[in-house]
Amino acid sequence: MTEVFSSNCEAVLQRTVGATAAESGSQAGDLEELYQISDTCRFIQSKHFKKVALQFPDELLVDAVAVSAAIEKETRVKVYILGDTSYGSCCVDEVAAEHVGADCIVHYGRSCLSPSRRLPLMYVFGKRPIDVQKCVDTFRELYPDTESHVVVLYDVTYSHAIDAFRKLLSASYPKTVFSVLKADHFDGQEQIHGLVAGDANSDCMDDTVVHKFGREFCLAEGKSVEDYSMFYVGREGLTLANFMMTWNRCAFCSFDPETSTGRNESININKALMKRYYAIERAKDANVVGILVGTLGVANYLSIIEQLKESIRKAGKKSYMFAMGKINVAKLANFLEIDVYVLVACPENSLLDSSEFYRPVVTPFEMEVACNKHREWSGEYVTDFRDLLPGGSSHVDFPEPDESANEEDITDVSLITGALRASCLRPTDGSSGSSSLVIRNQTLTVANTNTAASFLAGRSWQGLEPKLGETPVEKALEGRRGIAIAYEEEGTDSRDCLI
Amino acid sequence: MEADLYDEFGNYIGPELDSDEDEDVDADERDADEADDDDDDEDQVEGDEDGGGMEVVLHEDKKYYPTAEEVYGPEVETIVQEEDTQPLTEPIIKPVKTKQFTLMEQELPATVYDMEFLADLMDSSELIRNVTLCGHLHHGKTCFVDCLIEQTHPEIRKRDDADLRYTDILFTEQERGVGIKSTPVTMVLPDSKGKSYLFNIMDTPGHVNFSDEVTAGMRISDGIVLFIDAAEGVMLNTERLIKHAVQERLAITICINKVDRLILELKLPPTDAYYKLRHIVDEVNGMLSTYSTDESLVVSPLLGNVCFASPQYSICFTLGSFAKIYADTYGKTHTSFWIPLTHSVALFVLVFHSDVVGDVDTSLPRVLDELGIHLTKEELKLNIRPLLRLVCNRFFGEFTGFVDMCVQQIPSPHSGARAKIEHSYTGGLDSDLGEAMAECDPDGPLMCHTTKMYSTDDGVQFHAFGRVLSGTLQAGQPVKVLGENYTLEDEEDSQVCTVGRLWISVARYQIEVNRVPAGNWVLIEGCDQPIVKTATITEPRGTEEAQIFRPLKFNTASVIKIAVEPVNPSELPKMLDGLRKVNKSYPSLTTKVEESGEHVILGTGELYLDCVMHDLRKMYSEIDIKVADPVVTFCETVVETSSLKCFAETPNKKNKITMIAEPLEKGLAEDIENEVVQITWNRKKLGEFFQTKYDWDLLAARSIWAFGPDTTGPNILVDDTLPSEVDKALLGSVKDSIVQGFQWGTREGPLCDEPIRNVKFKILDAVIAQEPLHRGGGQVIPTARRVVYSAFLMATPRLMEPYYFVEVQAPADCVSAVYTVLARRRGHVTQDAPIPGSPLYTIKAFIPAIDSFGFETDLRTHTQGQAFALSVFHHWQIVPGDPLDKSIVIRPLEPQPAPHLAREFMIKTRRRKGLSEDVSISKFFDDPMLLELAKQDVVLNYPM
Repeated sequence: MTEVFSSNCEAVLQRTVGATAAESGSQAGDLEELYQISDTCRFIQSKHFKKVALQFPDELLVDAVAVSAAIEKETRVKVYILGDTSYGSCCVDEVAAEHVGADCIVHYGRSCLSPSRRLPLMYVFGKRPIDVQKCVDTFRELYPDTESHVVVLYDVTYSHAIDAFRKLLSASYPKTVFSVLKADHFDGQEQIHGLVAGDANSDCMDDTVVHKFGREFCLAEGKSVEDYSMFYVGREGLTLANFMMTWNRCAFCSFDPETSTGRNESININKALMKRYYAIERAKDANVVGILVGTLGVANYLSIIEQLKESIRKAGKKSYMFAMGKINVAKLANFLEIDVYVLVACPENSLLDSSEFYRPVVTPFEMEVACNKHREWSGEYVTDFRDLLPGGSSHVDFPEPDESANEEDITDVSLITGALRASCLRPTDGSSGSSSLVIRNQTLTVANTNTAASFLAGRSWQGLEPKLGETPVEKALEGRRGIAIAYEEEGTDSRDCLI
Repeated sequence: MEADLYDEFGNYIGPELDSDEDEDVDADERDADEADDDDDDEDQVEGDEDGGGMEVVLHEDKKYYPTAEEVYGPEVETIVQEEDTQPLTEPIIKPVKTKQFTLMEQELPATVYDMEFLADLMDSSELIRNVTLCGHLHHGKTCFVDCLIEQTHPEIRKRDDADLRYTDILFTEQERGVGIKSTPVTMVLPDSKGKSYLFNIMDTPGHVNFSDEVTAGMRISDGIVLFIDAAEGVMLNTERLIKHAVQERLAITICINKVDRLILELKLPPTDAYYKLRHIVDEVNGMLSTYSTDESLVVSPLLGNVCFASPQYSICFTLGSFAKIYADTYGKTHTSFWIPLTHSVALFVLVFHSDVVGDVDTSLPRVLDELGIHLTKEELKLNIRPLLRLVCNRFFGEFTGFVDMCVQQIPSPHSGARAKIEHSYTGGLDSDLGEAMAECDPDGPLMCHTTKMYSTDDGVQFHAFGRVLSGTLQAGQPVKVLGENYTLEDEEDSQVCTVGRLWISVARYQIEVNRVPAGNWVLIEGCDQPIVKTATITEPRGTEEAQIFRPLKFNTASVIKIAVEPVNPSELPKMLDGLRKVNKSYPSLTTKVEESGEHVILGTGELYLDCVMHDLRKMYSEIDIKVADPVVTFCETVVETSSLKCFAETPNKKNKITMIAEPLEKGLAEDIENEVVQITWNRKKLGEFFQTKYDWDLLAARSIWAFGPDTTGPNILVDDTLPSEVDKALLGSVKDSIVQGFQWGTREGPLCDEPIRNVKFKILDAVIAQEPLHRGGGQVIPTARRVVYSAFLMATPRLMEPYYFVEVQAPADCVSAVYTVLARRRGHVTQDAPIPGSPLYTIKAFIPAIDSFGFETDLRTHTQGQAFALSVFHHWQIVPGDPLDKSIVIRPLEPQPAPHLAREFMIKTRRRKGLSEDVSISKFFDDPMLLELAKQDVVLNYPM
């Protein structure tokens, strides 16, 4: 029976992680340089941290031992390595760090720069090789007009080379703007280290500064982001896709440092947007929504979940919350009742190509569009859920109940199946709100059927067999307290031997 | 004349002349004097001015107009704008814009009967006839109705020689000269004995693109009158309508129309005219025997279900009515065989025409006297056609023959109710409700079936049109509207509304009534909101067991697809609203959002979509809309059996499903789609069907699991495992999941996300985990889909495209041009034969729908407008070539050779949908499966 609940240990050991070891700096000499060990130590010592959590993505785990040893030797603090992160490795896993009671985190590798809430944080991006001269050449080739308005964006792992790039270009391209990395943190800017120091945009007016996804750049006066084209340094991937969705009116070009080639992107961006529109229509059709928790680190994730629950309820749909770690097809297909999932995660991980999934997975923004009648699909796209919260740049209030009551009369036809869209249960009604106590309609001979119950009855597997009457009844006992790594009664010594 | 004043051509080049007299010798001098004088005058004037005004007023200081303050007073704020903010073409105060798209009478026109009488007749269902007039394009349905209108409405007359087209109420219909919508007409008509009947007549469009309108009309009628042009004979749509009417189990009567053409146009001698008419009747009977199993279904003038008409001359008679006229005129009864009769008819018309055309003054009165027709002097002075019309009208009288035919041959709503209900109601007849409907009981519980939505003049609202089957519908009554998805188990698709006003619709005017009893047609206000296409209207209480009437079953398919998008993205909501409205207005139209996020409109043909776009742009949303090039829907299929057993393991490695795919038997896909066979049948009946009709063995026939992608989907999932090898109980426990995976897979095929068609998937082996947890839906559904895909890909996948059946009528010399045009569009001719008794040829051909865009125009250009084509969806056919052959290079802007077409279509569809350029096949295969492929040394055509 034990195997039913957890996969057996051998399988775990034999499981291979799809990581590429290509980028680890295996030479000991490189470690110091690549992982900025001295910087890290300075950071730790200046704040007198006692326990430090090092978070490595899967592909850098090979170097974890060496790095932690080096840091431990230098600073004599307790160092923990956070390996397998439950969600995307680009986000800071604060919950895991709190499990060991760490008081600061050092995050290695690619990052989405999503703001986190609790712990002081240092980013070590690592330095991927890049041929700056090639990059400059590509830039000149793609933008022959030296007066063109361009914003330069880049993957964080190339941030080390951007200064050199800027020096080579800024003279000949006066209208080109370089973005700087700048994450915000709950406790203020000083808690985050590893970002480009110095305020490069100090000479800008406040209203022309664009601050998104931990990047900041300032635009020329009288210009909006739409007037600029974007130049991205880095491999195509989630980061670029995220930028392209957000600034979908801008023309994008990219330079891939691995192959040292540049190309024009943005041909398929409209198609991608239209596909998301389809997802919205699916979300509108849905009656039961599953909220997937895809992050525990990004600030305000709890508020957006609350807001989603509220808007889903107001739209007359049911919602369930799921926390299932990394998402895969099989996990989601286990819940046939759910019509659509909404994934709350960092901007880069929110955009999920859901064509392989049994049910579509949408972003919080798309769910909002589907539920909130005041929000309309206009081509604007928000990947960062924090913008949807009250006070966020794209927050739209939900229509008042009485106001929407009039609109409710207009029946809606599903654009996918062509059937009438269920105008749904109106739970706010009060009088008919609870279905538990209603006067039974005498003319009705058949009892009211509960759709959820009938669905359950129709399932071939309804959970573990309860074996009613076969198992003896036992008195409930108080169980262990705490988390699995260290139950409270086990004491501290046992934990030490575990680690 | 001085020479130096003139040039060498004699033109005067001297100083200016004051007048003609100045041609004197001293012209020069005088000119000079006058100039001096002028100067003096000016000086004087200046001097005067200086003396008059005290100060010098500069030009810019002069005040020409009073200031705004002087004019309007000090308290009025005046704003001066230097530049216009709106263009000159736009009026500052816009006139109130009334949108009107239909021709309507302003008030009730006069009728020969009393409106009250009409309303009273509604109560006696035995005296009602619900009839659909249908027929091929331009076979005279609308003209025929015009005659009926003229006979009952003394004030409505056609002007000059133009057709009245009273039932073409849309402006677009008038402009195009073709009916687009079915139009109901209700009137009181007398039969030959003078007894009055209430006729509900539906005038339907004849163009094949609008067959869906005919279907909507047929559903609420008890019989049809099929119009056939005497000269053209049985045409494409005639045949389709016969088939459809047989399927809908309606009484069929024939009206051979435009008989005058035989004589006036084809100039056939009477005997040949007779043979021509007989040929038509024989053809119809031939078709009836093909489509119907009922031997007694025969049309013949002798049986009274054929009438002859010529609306042009206001002639309509049946054998019976003509015999009566004959007897009345000549005082003797003619033998009622129709052979001599047609002779005499032909003779009559011939005589009339030659006489009237030839010598009005002398011979006509003689003939008229003989027939007992008296014309006044005034009337005799009319032009030939109106005169002929008048004479015929006098002689043949009103269309009592038509009324007789309908009354005798078409059942009344009362007697036809049982058959109608059996055919269209999803519930049983044995309930109280069923009984009430079968009895057409006006006092029973309310049941009303609406099949069409008519928009109001301004296109803002819709009125539902339908037939009351039992009970009485009252104005202002609360009702429950059941939609097409309503079932007793799932009551979501129902809504309680209040009925507004009720009308009886007579094309261009509506008679408001406050109650409509069973058996009648009614136009309902106020409950249009929840209705998408058809609906069942019942009472809000007491009719809980009410089920719905079947949604319409069309005899055509919407295969042409256009993607629309507002030019201004912010106008999307407006467009969506418009889309919703056109969706209501056109019975078989589908609007949806595709996976790619495009809004697509699916219609039956080019004309159909053109009308839809007109309504969308002008009538319902008034915005600019971009339209993508039309495309067609494709299907994915296989042509062979999978080259090896394909298997896939679930992610937890505890289940393994093995399947193969193979093509379905010919005709089976169509049978499933037409619901000849239904998955809901019990296992025995289902098994018998497959055993007898398609020769399946007992085991396979009994183990059919599902059709896909839905219950009428043209794919089958069969459990072909052996109980000795597979634990059937375990397999049964995951049946639901596998079926879901199969349906998911067949909904979007692996080639380009188009539905799979005509494929049978066999489960050959299955290893299923013992613990229920390990065989949950999450494990099995995606795996079942994967194995469906891999089995599909191993069975030589192909693309399918829709084909049109085209019927072209052209004169003999244009036939070769028709061939050329068809050949250029991948079409091929199946039949080419002269139409008997006419100089025209009929060419029947097939053409791929994707190459049919602009075909009609192309054809007209090549035949100087002499050829006329109609095309309608016919079947699916495999696109030549292998869609997965990577060696094919698709060159842009070049026509592809035939073997490259499948690849081209697939890649272009994928591009349009925003998918990656090529299918990543390896995605659907497990590693062990790939190993197996290598071991078995299967030569894969496709590099993985």
